[in-house]
Amino acid sequence: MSEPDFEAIQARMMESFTVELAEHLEALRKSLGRLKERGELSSTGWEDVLRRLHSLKGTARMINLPPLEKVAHSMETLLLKISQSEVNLAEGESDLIGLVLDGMEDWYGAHRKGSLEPSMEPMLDILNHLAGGPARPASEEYREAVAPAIVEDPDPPSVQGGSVVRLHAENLDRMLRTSSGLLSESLRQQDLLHEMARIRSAWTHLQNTWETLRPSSRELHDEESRPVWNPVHVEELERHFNGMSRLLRKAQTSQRDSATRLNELGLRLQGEIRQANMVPAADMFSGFGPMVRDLATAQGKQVKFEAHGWEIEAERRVFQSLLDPLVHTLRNAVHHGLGTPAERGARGKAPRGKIWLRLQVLAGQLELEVGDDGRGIDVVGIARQAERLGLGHAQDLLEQGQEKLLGLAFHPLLSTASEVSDVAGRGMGLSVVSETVNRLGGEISASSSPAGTVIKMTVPLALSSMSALIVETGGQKFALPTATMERLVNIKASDLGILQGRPTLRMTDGETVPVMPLSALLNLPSPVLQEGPVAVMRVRGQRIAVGLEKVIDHREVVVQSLNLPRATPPTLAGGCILPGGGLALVLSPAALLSTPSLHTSVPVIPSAPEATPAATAASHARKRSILIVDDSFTTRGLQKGILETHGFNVGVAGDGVEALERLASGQFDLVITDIQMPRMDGFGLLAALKESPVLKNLPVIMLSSLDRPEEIGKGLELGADAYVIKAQFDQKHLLELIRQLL
Amino acid sequence: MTLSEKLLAERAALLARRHSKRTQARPGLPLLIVTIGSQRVGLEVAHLRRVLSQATLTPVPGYSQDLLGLVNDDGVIRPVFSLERLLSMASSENVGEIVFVAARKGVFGLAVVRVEGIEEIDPENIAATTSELGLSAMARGVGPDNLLVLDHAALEAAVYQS
Repeated sequence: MSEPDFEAIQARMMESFTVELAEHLEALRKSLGRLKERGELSSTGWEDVLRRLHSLKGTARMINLPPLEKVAHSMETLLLKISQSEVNLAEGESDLIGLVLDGMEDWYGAHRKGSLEPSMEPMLDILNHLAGGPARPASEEYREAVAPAIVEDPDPPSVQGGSVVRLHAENLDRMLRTSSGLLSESLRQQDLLHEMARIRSAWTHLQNTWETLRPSSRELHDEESRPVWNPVHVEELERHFNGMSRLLRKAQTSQRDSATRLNELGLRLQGEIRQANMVPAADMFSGFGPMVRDLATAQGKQVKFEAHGWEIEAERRVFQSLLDPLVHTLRNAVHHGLGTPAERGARGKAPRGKIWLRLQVLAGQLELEVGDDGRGIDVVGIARQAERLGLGHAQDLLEQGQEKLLGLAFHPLLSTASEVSDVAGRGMGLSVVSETVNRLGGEISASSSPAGTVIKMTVPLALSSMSALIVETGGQKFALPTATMERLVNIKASDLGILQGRPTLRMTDGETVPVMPLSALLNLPSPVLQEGPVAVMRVRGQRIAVGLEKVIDHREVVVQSLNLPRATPPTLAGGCILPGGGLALVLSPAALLSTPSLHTSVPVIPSAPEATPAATAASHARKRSILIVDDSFTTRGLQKGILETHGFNVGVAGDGVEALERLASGQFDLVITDIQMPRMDGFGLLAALKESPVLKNLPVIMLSSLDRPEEIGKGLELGADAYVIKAQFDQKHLLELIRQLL
Repeated sequence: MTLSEKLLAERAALLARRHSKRTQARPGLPLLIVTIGSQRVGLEVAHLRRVLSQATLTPVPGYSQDLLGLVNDDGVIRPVFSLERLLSMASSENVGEIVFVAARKGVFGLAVVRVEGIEEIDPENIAATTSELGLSAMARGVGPDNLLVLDHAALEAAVYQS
């Protein structure tokens, strides 16, 4: 991997920090306003304030802004004391904190412009004094001290020309939304196609009627035995008929080509905008190495920092959201984990410790692992702190096992550090990390041993677009993200059981999981659990089956804000526009699985009476069988579920060799195959099928992420009946293709 | 000319008048007249975006009752509120048309039964309301023929703060 441009990275980080600082300052001002008005803040209000200051301090340190870091640290110290009633503010003193926030903003504004920054000393004096220290400058004095130092930049640097254009991320999001609207609109062309076909059919009918009537028209004579129809007029009429037929045919072909092309271009545009929104991790995280080394040196520790997978790309917004959590986790690794050379020596470890940040893509999700080879997490310390916070008796907690105990490390205000330092120790870090990861729809876990600590976070690669199952419940459409979906199965009433009054589903792997209809999780009226499609989800280690009334589609959706004036219900992550212009609400699986409705009881519709043997035979006779060949378990499971809900019998195989075995022993009407697979790839499978006298006429659809013209050409040359690119995958299109081929 | 086009033309004229150096500006206040139930309501054209007919609304489970649902406004999702419910009137649940209103915090839709058209009212003819009348806090006053003229700031506050 080439060495990243450090200045460019620094500039990008500053850009993110500008937005972050503005958000934190706005929220802090609001909280201070409430504090001034009511004289107190709720516990969650204090948590939010302290978390924001902790974040601000961490990021300021990472991007090397020591003055801001110091002020944020002092303010955090002061506000922690106020929250614990160790310090009581006199009337008007909260205004001084507001002035410090203004000062931070002024300082950063000057710093960004390259102007002379105002001194932060008066602000530190104010904070130290309020926290019980000596100095006490009046607000006017503070203003005088600060104001002269703020110098407007008379000549701001001009934007340099060149091949790089800076574009605000918000504009890219807007372009993505517009392209999604364009695509939806282009799909309405399909309706026009059907209209055109109907017009042409009606015209053909009219023409045929004329052909029938034509011979008798010659025999029609008036009272004076003259022909009623003038042969010249008849010829003219026929000429018009033929001309009109040609025009209709041409218009229909042209409209069909145009609709297809418009759809292709819309998909391409959307893909390109999505791609423009993706950045490699190195662009965002390269500052972590120097930060870790500086922190360690400042604490007399030695460290080797290792970065893995920094070429992995994810949406800019995902990396930006992870900046803060990663800073906290790495700081904790240095402070709590690493240990000094002497401490390490006493534990039989090398004087120089190791900290790593590893990124990888697993099952379409981004996994980040922050690890250290230090002393591990002090689980006894966690249990004691938890007891102090009223979370249970330390001994009981210790007996619950390490996994549960480590989960408590993400609780706000819980820390294992015995002293407060400017690096870590207030325990805010891990709760910030956990909240951010959950907000992104991801999961976090910690593991620890005497060999060290590993924190793993799994988040989506992109937030603005995602793969989702479009489902219908209570007469309304919803988009259920597939990232947390293990499989889609069709259930019968006989698969259901009742455990402590709640319906459960027996999985094929033997596990029994709770099952709840989506309508109940969304508090829709009259929820009922019935036979049909069920999505098995796994969120934060919890497995649950969600009953879906109807599965309509599986597609990539562009997620938009709902633009609601007041807080969006937590179960909704946004909305998306569907082909044809309708809307679907995008669900948040993590919030769905933590809603209180999960624990309610719902009626279960019993299974229908047993079908008669004749009816069963007739039903089987109508069903067609499809073999899905894909090495991805998730893709196979998802496609299987969707096709089954559309009435097909489905078999699966993990590669070409297994597919040939299945085809030899079973009766299939169509094959859908991936290309890149172990043992025998899709091209090999296709070639083998075409060589077989028995299977050569079996329709084959290739469904692959390979999108180069030569790959598509090769598939079609080998005899594939259709080639579908996964990036342009549209469930409706695939079903239409299947119906055509069968 | 469609109503949306008329609305845009009226807004353009309004903006042009605002920037005109001529002192003899027309005194009228352009209002979009809509009906809800039997009540005629006037909305200031200067704050309106467009009128949309025949839109499908998507309800939002777990949200305030004032919100009728969401609508696709040229590729952007917008919330749509019931003007009847905002004015605490008996709701007919009859969504004929949606009027999009531009606020400082975003754009929202108001569902109305029917849009009559644009009328220019002399502000002098809008009588101030008194609390005894029991009218909504959103009422700026009452115009000719019992036209209820809404105050834009109060409408915005009702949508964003209620």
